[in-house]
Amino acid sequence: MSAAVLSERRPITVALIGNPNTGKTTLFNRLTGMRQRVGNYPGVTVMRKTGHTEISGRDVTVIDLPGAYSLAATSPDERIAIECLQGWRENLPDLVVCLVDATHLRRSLFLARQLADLGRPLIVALNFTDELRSRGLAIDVERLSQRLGAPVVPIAAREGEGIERLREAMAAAVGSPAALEPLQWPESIDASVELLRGELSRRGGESVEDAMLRRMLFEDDYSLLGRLGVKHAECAPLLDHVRRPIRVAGMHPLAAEALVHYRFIDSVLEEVVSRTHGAGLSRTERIDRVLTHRTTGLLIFVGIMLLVFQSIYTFATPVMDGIENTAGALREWVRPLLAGTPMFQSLVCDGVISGVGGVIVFLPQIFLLFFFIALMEDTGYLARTAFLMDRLFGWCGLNGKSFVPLLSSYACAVPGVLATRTIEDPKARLLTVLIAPLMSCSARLPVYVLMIGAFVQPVYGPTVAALALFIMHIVGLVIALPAAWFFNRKVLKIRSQAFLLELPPYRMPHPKDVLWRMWEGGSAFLTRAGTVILALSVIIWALLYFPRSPKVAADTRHEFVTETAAAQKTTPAAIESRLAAGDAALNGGLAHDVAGAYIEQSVLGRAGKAIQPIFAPAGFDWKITIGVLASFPAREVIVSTLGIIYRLGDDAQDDSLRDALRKATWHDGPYAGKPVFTLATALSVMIFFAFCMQCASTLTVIAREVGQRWAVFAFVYLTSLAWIAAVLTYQIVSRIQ
Amino acid sequence: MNAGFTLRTLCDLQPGDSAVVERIDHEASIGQRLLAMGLMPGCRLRLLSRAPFGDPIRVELPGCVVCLRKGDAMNVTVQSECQLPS
Repeated sequence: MSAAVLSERRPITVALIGNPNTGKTTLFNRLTGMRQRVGNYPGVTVMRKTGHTEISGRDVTVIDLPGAYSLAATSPDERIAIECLQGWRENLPDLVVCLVDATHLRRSLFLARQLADLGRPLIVALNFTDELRSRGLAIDVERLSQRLGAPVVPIAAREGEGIERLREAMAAAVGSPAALEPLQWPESIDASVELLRGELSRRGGESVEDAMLRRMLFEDDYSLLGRLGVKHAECAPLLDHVRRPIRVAGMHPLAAEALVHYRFIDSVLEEVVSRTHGAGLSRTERIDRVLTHRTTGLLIFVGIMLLVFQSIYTFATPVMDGIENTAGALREWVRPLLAGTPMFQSLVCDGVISGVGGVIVFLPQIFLLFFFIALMEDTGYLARTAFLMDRLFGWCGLNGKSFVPLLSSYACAVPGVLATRTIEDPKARLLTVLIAPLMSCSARLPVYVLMIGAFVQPVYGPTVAALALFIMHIVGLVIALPAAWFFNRKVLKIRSQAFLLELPPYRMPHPKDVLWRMWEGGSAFLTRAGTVILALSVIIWALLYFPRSPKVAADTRHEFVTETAAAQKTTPAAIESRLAAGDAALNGGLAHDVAGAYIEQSVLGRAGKAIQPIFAPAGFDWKITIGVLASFPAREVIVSTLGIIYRLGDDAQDDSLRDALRKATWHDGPYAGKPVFTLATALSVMIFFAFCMQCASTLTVIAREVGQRWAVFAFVYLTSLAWIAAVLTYQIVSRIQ
Repeated sequence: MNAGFTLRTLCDLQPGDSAVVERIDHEASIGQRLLAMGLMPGCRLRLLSRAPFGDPIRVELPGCVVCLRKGDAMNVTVQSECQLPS
């Protein structure tokens, strides 16, 4: 077969697998460089990375499997590894590379042993060999390879040592795929395997390899049996029957595999590992005595978090301002160039440049956040933050690892959602994603500033205003944790995993890996969210732009001229002539009026008027309703939209918008003549914006990270929550006042 | 049971205590995971410390340090030497 494989020259598939914290991502990056693709496994939300490389002239696809301690599945996500190794999800791998941590050899070899049982060509890559000496350990690599029956290649992935040797070993293994010698199992287990084979063939199923039969025996997960057509209800009695020989031999069937493998591993370790000098209290434990301490650990943690977010704001702000100014300058530079085609001009300036600029502006924050997350993860500190914070989040189904993503969401939910990749438990990860948009992100600030500045500060003074701003920032978190608890109990049908987290030794991160993570986070955001945002910006622009009948402009002009003439006690003709003469103030006023009239007449404007009754209980008039609709792609748009609708400038700091809001009155209905904006309306608008899912970038990222179904769910629940909370706020506050 | 030894669960240990694993509940998902990491009857472990709010706990297993919740730790029965004054 080997000759056929070689002559075929078809691409080779290599599966890369290993325990968490064994440097798998680093090795993957060293092997494949920039040629990677990130995706999700269909049906489950597990990150799947594939990369390409070339080994002795042949194209090699490397599949990066999720980090795991065992092939046994305690969740559907963990089922991925075995399904992939059996070729059910991708091409059957030609070669399996098992990454093993030389400093945690005993634990790492368990997975290697499970892989060896599958009988597929296997290479063991022994990582962190550079750390062995300082720990007073030595490993006899040759003897280890003999005992395991598979090539063992010592590497130091971070430093890039041994990668070439690994490539050579991979080429050799693919060129002459030597099947591994079958593992020796106790008679009782072989007897159970035979019983199971008999039962399955009696049911007329296809024949199955011994290794897969053993997987079925050793686990209480019925999906493998289900694959062979055994009905779910029959699985338990069937397994109970065929496991009898194991039980008679005095072993618990679920523990049998570990007992057998670890007995072998312990005998191997005795031969292979030698201690060169005694180990005292390890460096990691000395650091942990401080960093995970009840008081000092917590204080240092709070300090580090403050530092991280302070620097995200401090360092990102100038770059973000720069991006905004560049986008603004570009828009103003393009605008006159396209003056001949007003529609195209508006599409490019107001749709494309503003829309895409609004996305790119988050990039500096995302780069910085991923920089810090990479630092925390690669040093090993991230696991300690999960240890410190677990109690705070555990009661509602989250775990300690939810803390950093939620905190990140205060800057922007997009990097926050991306940061949930560090949570292995799929249930805790999904819950964290669902509540992350409730954290008050920086895009809500302009709304709060406008409303508080217009309605709270003038009446209640700066202290109450500051308090209101603070409350707006924590109200989301206060709602989020009970919401998570509720989803955990009532909505999610995912089995919770036990929270077992390894606290890896502290290590110095490699700059290359940190930069890589920044790039990965940033480019994922730009390419995916960027394209969708661009499309959505264009759609919203079109809904606000069309229909555009010239009659609207003519009518508005007529109205404007008559009203201005009446106000200035002059004739319409005089106003007309001043307009024609290019009076800047008059022309500016007219342009604002026309823009406002067009929005009112647009598809979205009419929709806003049509659905205003839905928002009436929250105190919104049709103008606010249009603003709310227009800001679903990006919430900060409300300020500029209100500015255009109220026929004013589009700047939150502009006093005139605040004045206009204060002066606005209801035209008709029960409140005709009364002011639209009271304290109740202002609070209700702010509460609506605090809860509502008005961010296309976040929705896109949620869909990409945990699936479209959950993105829809998040949108529906957050929008309903926002509406209910806004109505309650308006009704209660307007009655108290 | 030998005199001088008591059976307790892992979450009853005090920081600094070491103990020998007596039994792990294999039906619990934590049991499966601990087993995969090589913790089985006869292995020695040590409770290193508790988190600031008392839960989870930091435990040294043979060859690695893990943290786990007290609720999960109850599935591990240990035999520890009595803390008798010597």
